[in-house]
Amino acid sequence: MRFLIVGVGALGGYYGGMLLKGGADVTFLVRQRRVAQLAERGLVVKRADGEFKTPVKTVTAGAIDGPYDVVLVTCKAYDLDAAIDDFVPAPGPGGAVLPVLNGINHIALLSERLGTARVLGGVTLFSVVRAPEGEIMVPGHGNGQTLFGELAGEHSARCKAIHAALSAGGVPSTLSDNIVAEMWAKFSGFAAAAAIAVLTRARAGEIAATPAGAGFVDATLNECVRVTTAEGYPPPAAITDAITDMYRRAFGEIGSDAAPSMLFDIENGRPTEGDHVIGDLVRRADRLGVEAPILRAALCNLQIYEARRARVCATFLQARARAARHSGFLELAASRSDFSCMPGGPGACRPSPPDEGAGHAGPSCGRARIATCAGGKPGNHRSSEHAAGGRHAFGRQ
Amino acid sequence: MRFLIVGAGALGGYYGGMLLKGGADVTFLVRPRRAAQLAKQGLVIRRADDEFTTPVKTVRAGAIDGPYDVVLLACKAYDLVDAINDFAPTLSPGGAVLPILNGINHIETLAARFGRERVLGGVGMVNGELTPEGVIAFRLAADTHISFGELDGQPSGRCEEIRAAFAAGGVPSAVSERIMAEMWGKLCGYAVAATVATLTRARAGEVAAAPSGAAFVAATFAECGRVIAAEGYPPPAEIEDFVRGLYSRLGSDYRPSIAVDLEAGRPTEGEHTIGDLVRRADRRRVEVPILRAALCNLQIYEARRRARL
Repeated sequence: MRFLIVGVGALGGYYGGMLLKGGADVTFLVRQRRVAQLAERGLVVKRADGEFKTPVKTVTAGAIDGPYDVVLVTCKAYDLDAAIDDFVPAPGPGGAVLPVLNGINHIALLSERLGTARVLGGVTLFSVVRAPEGEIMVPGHGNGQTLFGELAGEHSARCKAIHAALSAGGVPSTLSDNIVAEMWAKFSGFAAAAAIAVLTRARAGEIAATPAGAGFVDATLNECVRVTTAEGYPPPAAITDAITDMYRRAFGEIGSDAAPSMLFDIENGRPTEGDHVIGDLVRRADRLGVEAPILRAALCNLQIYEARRARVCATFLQARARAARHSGFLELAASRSDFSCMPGGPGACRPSPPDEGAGHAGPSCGRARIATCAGGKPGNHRSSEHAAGGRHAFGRQ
Repeated sequence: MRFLIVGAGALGGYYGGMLLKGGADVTFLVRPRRAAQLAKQGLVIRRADDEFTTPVKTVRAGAIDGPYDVVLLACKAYDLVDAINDFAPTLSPGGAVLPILNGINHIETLAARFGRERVLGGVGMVNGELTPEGVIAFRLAADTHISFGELDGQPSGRCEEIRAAFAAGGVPSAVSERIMAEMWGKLCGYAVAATVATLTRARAGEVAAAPSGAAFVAATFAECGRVIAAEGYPPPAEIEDFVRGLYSRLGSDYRPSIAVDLEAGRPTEGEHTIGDLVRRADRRRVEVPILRAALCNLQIYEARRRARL
C-alpha cells in the first residue's frame, strides 16, 4: 500500500514515520527547500517507548510519481486548496484521500475537487509537537486514538488495509462506522477550545484559576454543541460527551499549560485555522438561526489578528524589498520565510527556525508576532518560542 | 459652597478645573505624587487646541480640613473604599456626595455608609485621560456634559446650587429627574465598549474594519441591554446609536478608559462594571456569554498583573 503524506508538520511526520516503521511504502510531498533537509537529517519520532529514526522518500509537487493508494492530508486548513492543487494527480483508481484536519468543511472541498468516492473522514484525538530541531515528539505513550472511515460508514477493504498499516506501525486507530459524527464531535470541542484561547490568549490553567472561568468554558462548549446539534449531530452520542468532558477537564486544571494549537499559532504570529473552524461554525449558526455570541466574538478577534498580521507582513516585505534594493541583498530578498518580524521595537527581525510545520506556508510572512494578549502590555505575553517543543497541547497540534 | 474633588484624573480634574474657572471654592484630595505635580505645574486641561491651566488647592488624606458641602467623587471604582475612608470625616452635616464613577453598585456602597439622603447620582461624559506628564487630555472633543440629581428624582436646592456652579464654569450640566436611569444607560454604553475592547484589545476602527465587527458589537449591546432591562432600566435607543457610531468609523482610534488601563498595565474597573453586570445577570437568570468571556479575560489580566507586582 503506497502512502503519500501531505504536510510535513508534527502530525504528518508522526503518521509518516510510524507507517514507515510498520513497513508501509511512504512518500512525503514537500517543498523543494525541504528535500535536502529531510535527505540530510531523516525523520526522527520520539515517544516514551523509544526513538525511531528513518530516512524518508520525498517528492515535490509537479513530480508526483503516482498512483498512491492513500493520500494522508495533514496540512493546515488554510493551505488545503493549494495542497490539493499539488496532490491532485496522486490518488490512483480506488485510491483514498484521508484528511485529519480540524473542522468539517474540508470534506466538502475535497469531495468537490476529487470526487466523494475518494474521500474518507478522519479525526485525531491526541497531539504531537515538532521540536525546533525538527524531531517529532509524541507526548506520553502515544496511545492517542486516530478514528477514520468511509463517509458512508461501511468497512471497506481500503479502510481495513489502512487500519492494518497503522497498527503495524504502532498507531492506535479505530475504523469508525460513524466518522462524520465523530468529526462533528471533535469539531465542537476543538472550536470551543479555540474560541476560549482566542478570547483569553491564555492557557488552560490560567482560565481555570479565574472565578468566571468555569462558567465561560461551559457557555462556550454549550454554544458549540448547540450549533452542531442544529446541524444534525446532537450531543447524546457518547463521543460528544466524552470530548466535551475532555475539554471541560482540560480547562479545569489550575496551573495547566495546555492550549489548543491555535493559541500557539497566534503567539507565534502564524496564520490560524480560525476561519475554517470558528468562522465556519458562526456562518452555520447564522444560517440555522442559532445564537453564537461567543464564537462571533472570537471570530471578530481573529479577523483583527489577521488584519494586523497582514499589515505587519506588508510593512516587513516592503522594508525588506527596500533593503534589498539599496544594499544589494538580493539573496535575502529572494528567500521567502527566513525572517520573522515583530511590529516595532529594536531587533524586530531575526532568523526563524528552519521550518514552520505545514508544507505549504502560503503567502505567509515568517512569524509576524502580533501584540494582543490578555495580560499586561501589548507584546508582553509569555513567549512561546518553544510552543512546538514540550508545552502540553490538546486537540490536534 | 465648598467642593472637595476626590481624584484628579480626567473626570475629576476636568470638572474640578471648570468649577474653579467659574469661581467655586474647590479643593482636590489627591495622593502625594499628584499633589506635587499639581503644585509644580498647576492643573492642565488640554482640549482640542485649547489649553487651560490653573493653580489648585490640594489636601492629602488624613489632613483634610472640613467641612465640605459637596464631595465630587471621581476616583476609580477599585479605589472607592479607600476614598470613602479618606473623605468621610470631612463631609458637612448637610453635605452631599456626588459620585461620577462608571457602574452602578457604588451607589449602594455610599448609601450604606452615609445614608441615602446624602448621596446623589451622577453621570459624566468626559472621554479623556491623564497623561504621564499630568495633563488631562481629551480624546473626543465634543461632549463634557454632566448630569446629576437626587436618587429619588426630586428637585432640591443643593442640586440647583451645584448646577449653577458648573454653569458658571461653562460646563453643560443638567439636574436629572431620572438620574438612576441615566446611570444605568451610561453603564450599558460603558460595558459594551469595555467588553468589546477587552475581548479584542483593539481600537474601534479595527473592530469596525473586521467583517464580524458590527455583528459582534450588536450582540454585545443586546446582552448588556438584556441585563439592565431585567434590572428595570431598558436602554434608551440613543445609547445603542452612540455605541454603534463609535464602532462604525474605519480608522477610528477610539478606545474606552478600560483599554487605556489595560494597555498601561493598571488595575481596571472590570469587576465593578462587567463583573457587576454578570453577577446581576446570574441572579436574574439572564444569559450573558460575551460579558462572562470578558470578565474571565479581565480576571486573567488581573491575576497576571498581581503576579508581576
